[in-house]
Amino acid sequence: MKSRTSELTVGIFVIIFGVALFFLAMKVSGLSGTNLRDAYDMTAQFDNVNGLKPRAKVTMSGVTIGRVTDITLDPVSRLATVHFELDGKLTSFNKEQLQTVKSNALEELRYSTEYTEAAPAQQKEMEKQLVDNMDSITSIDEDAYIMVATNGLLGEKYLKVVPGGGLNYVKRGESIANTQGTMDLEDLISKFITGGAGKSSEKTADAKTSDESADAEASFVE
Amino acid sequence: MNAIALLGRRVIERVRGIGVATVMLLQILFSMPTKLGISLFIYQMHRIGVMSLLIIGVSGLFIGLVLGLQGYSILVNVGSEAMLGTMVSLTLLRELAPVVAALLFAGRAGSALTAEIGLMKATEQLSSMEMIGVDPLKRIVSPRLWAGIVSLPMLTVIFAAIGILGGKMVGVDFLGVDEGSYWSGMQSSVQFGHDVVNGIIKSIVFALICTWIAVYQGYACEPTSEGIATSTTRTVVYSSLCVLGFDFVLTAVMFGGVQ
Repeated sequence: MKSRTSELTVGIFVIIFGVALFFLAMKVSGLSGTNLRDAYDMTAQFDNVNGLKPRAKVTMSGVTIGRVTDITLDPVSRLATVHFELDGKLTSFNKEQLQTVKSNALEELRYSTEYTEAAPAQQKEMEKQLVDNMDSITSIDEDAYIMVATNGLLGEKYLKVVPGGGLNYVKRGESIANTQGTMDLEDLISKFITGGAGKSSEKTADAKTSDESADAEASFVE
Repeated sequence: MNAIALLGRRVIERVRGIGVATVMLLQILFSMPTKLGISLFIYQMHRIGVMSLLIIGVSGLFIGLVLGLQGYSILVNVGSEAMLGTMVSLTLLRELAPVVAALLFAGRAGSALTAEIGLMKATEQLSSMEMIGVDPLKRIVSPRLWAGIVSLPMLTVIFAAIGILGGKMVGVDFLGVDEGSYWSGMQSSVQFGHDVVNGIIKSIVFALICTWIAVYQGYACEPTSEGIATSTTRTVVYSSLCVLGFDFVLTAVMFGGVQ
């Protein structure tokens, strides 16, 4: 009898332990696995990801659409490469929307000079290529940019995708080209104090032109 | 001259004691479990683990409450009371739960182990066991040691969970910190592999130290009533000092480096 009750109480003890461990794992460390449906990986390169950690959220218009999986340093460009996975259900079009997007893109193609100057056979080829390219697109357009944002003034860092207005869309597994790293408050202050404000605006202008050239390059490839 | 001889004898005694304790520990750790041993182990789990549950739970709750209260009153000054969840959970998981649970365990279970084994020795139960061919190490010491090693980490996890809920009670329910920011701040800063697992590893080490000291002090105590009293005191003092000392070393190894 004595051993029966002690077995019972030890059993209860183990169950309480299990519940506590489950609580620590799920509720405290948020280890609920990936609840992303139809997940796929993307990358982006930043000049500064200070404060960003793996498992930080990725949002678009305030909706969480993914998580950061890994942060590495590219030895050639010396930029931080952030790998993140996105929810496929939230970031792709449904069939009807895809149809509209395709027809919009075809229309755009038909007005381009390249298309009008090409031979009919080539035109067919281009249309086919375009439609094939659209199979694995996401709802993030190529003009969209991704930035390291802060939750509140002192909160944790996360990635924010800001949609652009482009008609070309990024495909799954590609990288988002337009990025903006962590805003360093100290840098801004030191620029302000040393009167480097003019320089910084020059710099952003440079960045803009380089972005534009990147865009131009991208459209040239297509 | 006499004093020097006494000092030397004491040092030799202590070093010999460490040797005996190590041999005893290795004998127990590397011996095959038997069927009888397992049922004895279950019974000791009941006495050591389950019976400590109440004190661990109540202390965990109060420590969580105090952390919530203090954390709030400090953080609200800098306007970042949303960090309360992060503060409470990291403090508990990394430091307070393993250390406080181990100290309570040394006082609650360790002293009882020493007194029990010491009294068995004083009433010559251990010697009579040897006489009838039962190894007292296997029959008495081994189940108690294993029960201590297994139950303290479990108690630590329960302690941390109750403490975090206690912090939530004060912070969110009484003082009005936003519940969403309490949990999400916690989830974004606590890493299971880093914080929770390292806390459990710490408590496994503490469990080994506490129960090892307790059973050795009982096994090696002088078979008089005064001897049992001295051994019980030593158990609590040595266990507490070792836990605090090892805590520093383990923290330096686990959390001291650059993340």
